[in-house]
Amino acid sequence: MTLALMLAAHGPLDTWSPTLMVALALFMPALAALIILTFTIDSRRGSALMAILGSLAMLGFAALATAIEVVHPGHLESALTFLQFFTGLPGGASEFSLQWGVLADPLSAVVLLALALVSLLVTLASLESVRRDEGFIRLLIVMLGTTFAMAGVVLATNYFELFVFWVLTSLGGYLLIGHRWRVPGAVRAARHAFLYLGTGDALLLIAIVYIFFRFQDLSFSRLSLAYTGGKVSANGLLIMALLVFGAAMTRAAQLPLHGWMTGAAEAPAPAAALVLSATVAVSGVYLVARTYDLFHASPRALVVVTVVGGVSAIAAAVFALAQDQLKHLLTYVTMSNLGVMMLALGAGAYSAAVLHMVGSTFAVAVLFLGAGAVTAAMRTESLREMGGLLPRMPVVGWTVGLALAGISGIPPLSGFWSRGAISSWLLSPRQTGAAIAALAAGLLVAAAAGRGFATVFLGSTARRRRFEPGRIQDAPPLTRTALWLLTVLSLVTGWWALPIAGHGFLSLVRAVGLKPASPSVGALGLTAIVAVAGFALGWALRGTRLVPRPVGRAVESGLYVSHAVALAVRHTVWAGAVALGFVDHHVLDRGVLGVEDAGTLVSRTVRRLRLGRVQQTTLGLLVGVLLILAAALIVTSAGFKVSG
Amino acid sequence: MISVLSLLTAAASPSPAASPVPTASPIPSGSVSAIPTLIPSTPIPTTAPLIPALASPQLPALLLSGMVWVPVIVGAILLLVPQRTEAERARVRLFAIIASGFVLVLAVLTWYGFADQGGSFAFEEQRSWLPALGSSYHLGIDGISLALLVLSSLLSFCAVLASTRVRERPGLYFALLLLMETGLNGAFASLDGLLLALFWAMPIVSIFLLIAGWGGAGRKRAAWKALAFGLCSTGLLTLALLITAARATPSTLDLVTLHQAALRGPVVGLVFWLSLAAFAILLPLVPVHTWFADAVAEAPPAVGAMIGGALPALGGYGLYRVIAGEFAGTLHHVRGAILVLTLISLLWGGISALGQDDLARAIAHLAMSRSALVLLAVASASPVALNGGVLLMVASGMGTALLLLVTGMVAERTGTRSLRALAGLSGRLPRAAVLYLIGGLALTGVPGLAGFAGMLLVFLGAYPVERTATTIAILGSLLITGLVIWTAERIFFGSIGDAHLRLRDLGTLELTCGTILAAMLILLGIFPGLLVSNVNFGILNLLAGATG
Repeated sequence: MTLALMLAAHGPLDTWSPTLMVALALFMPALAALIILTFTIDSRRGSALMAILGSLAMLGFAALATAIEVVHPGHLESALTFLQFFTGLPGGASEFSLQWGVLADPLSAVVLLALALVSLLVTLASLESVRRDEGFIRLLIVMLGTTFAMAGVVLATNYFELFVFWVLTSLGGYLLIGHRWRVPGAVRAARHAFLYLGTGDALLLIAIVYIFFRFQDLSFSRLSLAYTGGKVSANGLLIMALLVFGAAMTRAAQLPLHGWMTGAAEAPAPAAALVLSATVAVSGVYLVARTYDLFHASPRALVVVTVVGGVSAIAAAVFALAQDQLKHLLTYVTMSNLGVMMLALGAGAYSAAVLHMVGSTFAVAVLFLGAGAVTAAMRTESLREMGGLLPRMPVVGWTVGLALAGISGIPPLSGFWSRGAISSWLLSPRQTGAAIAALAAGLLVAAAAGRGFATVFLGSTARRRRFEPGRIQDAPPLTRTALWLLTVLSLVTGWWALPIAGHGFLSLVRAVGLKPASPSVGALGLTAIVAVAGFALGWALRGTRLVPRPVGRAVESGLYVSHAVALAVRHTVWAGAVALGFVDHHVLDRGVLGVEDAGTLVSRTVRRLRLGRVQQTTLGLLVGVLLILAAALIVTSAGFKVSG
Repeated sequence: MISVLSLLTAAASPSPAASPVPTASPIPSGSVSAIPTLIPSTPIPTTAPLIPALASPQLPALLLSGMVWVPVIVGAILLLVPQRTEAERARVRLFAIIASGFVLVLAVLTWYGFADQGGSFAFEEQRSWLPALGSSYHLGIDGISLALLVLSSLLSFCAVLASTRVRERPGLYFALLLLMETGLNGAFASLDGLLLALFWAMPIVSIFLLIAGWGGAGRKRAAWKALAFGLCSTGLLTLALLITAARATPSTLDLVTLHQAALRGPVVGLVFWLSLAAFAILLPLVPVHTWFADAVAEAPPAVGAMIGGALPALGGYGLYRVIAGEFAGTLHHVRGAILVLTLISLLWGGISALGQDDLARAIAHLAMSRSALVLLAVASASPVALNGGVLLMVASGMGTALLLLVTGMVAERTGTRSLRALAGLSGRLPRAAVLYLIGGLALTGVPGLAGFAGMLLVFLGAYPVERTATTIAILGSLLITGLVIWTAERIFFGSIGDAHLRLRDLGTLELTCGTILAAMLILLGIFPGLLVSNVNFGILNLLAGATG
């Protein structure tokens, strides 16, 4: 699509401003949400139309921006002032200002385009699967809002603006996951997500405060020059990078901060697809990619990113293999995939990691839309009760199968190219450990994907009481369309790794200071062998229970890490609250009791004097004031001695 | 959208055209140009008095006196109006609404007409009153007091509007509410020590009588407790002022002259601690906070919203005017102790809030946790953090009041505020759920709502001075997030109980006052420059006076 636009509009592309295009793309979903809120809040049809129009407009502008960036790669910003005032401090701190604006470079344009595509198609799918549900319009508004927030994250020019939209994405994730607020599980999952994401927000805030303290600046482009300027020691940079990475970890569900992700599937299928593919989950990887200069300036932080990414990728793939529930399996596949991106970013395979991020965005959206259709048809999540769905749901089966194959690197699908590019980078300068981790994660995730696909779609449908497999139908037409379009996108994106007409992705989206990588044949071959072997292994393992039940359950819950954290926090806070309440009532109030008793005493004495009510109160007040003044004198003179 | 952005920049960008003399007509023309622009690019103007200029003929000289005294005068009249029938009671309420609405309009007009006065106070009024004591009737405002004046007028208006269910003695009730408004406005506007102490006592007395007369089951105890603490605060403040007046040369109670008169010797420490204790009670800080949750929970809902929203702002205002403005040196010496106090209060409030069963008490603890950040801002003495502190006071005042009003609406329908008893109300009260979420998220500091800019500025400004404390404060703020999410989940989400199936959603009046607060939270969240443009000069003058 981009190529077509590029060819069709080669003239205007030279003159149109990419920042204007991305700004328009940013505001389209917000505008649509506002129009729905203001005008069509009572009309499902009108709201749906507005949502689709808003997403389409966003897609158009994002495509134009990408086309411009492909033809003329460059970094352009336009910023406005959010808040500015004079501080009266000497030197460079004499003016405090916070800016916001938009940033157009190849990275932001490409990610924005992927976001716009996923948002549009997911909204399209939502028109059907939730049209009769309660809160359909609310879902549309929140999905548009979350898209807007993520677009803001993508286009942010500085840490302040990034943080604003970052927190709004958390909020969007919370509202989407908790959309079905009558279902206790969904509400719990939403709370869980908000606390995890809120922790990430706090870490990012600390990082921002620290960066501002050190550099008196928050702009990405100015900071990228300042990091290496020697103004801050290596340890300072490491702390900054680790804080930023901590925030990214909560989003990209890196071990051990992954607890929110399995619950995210509680959202309605389109919302889950949006949260886990293009918005919340991806924002973590995008954060590291956007602030890559900071990581580049601190090699130790890059090592941490690599290790955490590698461990998460492998562990999540193992978790996925042991899953007994469809959506949990897909969640862990997604998480493993995000781990691979982190690993690649840490090891320096920047362009390949971004390509993998963009390509798998579409595949993940397919997975969760498809899983929604499957669970709706089967009315169960359990893998053991599924089977033989391919003939009954051909579109869902084929698209999910292709997405799973693509994400795990089967040639010639999308993930093959990006995983191959990552492996090429890892193998060429001999980063053996990282290369082995990436290949192992690829093998395991392919096995999990193959097992999942074979279990759900092949074999025979398991018999259950009061359930007739004959009545299973394929997904409704709009969802089918969305699934096919997303699948096609996920298949073709990877081919961009090849230098087509001199505009290869790997040379387009680059980090400063890293040489562009090109996929090598050996690495591609290795990736292909690993993926096919893994997929076949998983296929062979279909229907078998891999691990004993308790182990499986432990693995399913992510090794109870999040349970332990939740339990510890709950009990600590609860005990603290009880203790503080005790202090409030029995220690502090007792000190006040004297005053209170004095008041009662006065009023009693006065009552004995048979004075009227009004005088009583006034007298009580006066005596109270005098008493308090005396007490204050005593207390403060003691305090004064201490201080003086 | 772009035009909105450009409007934002117009309101917030530095413009050399912002002369210290108000040139624009004080009456808002509805256009952007009526909003005073922010900062001249020159450094702080000199302290040359521009009083002739600011007694500008456009605004009546009695503006501040009007905002201060109109409520209580109307309140006194309300006492005399008959209120036997329902129609007469409705008329009483209408009068009260008109009076507080009039003050709110005046406050907003003042906001638009306000321009920086170059190191002096605006709209000053001075009449001789008690010359023997060195005291005079002296009113005047700067950006800080104006922001809080607008807050207190807004909250009073909403409280009067929300008090639709008062059946017993409505005249006295509204008279006391209006007395509270007079006290708050007077305290924010007064430039004389004696006047300040006098106004300081008014809200306390009226809170005592309102809780005792119209409160919940435990009202007697709560009322006495609030009175004891409140009078203690007033007493400490008076004492501090009297000591200052006696020791300062020249002897005076006028805050402007006091500002310039220097105190010397150990008496500085004494006055510092006395006034800090006075403000700590209202803020409230540990260990003098126990009255606050009781008062909020036992007061009638509208009064609870006033207590939870406006009294911490009064305490915070004292911190700004006296602690940050007069005692910067002492503050610097004892900063460690102040920070410990701040963090204890912040964590204490957050943790105890999570242990409450009564929703109103939980919100009160939440407000306490938030106002500890104001003390953090004051302790850091950084202009950025101090600006943020004012924003935060305004935002958390409105947010707390909104939460408490919604709590009152819920409690009125369900008959309980117990978090264990409530569930799934979102189906019956969707509007209440939305208002609650807006108020709660504003308190947690979600961008787009007013709390965010304040919180960010406080953290950005305080971090260079106090790194550990700020980091702990950021992490401690997670407690507030947790509480808001948890309470919203308990009350509004999940399946609804059988007992609550027949509730009706908010009525027009309730929705109106909730929407006013929510709209203000959103407005200030997107355009914090509206506040900061005026506040910043107050802060700069404060700091210049404190150090120079």
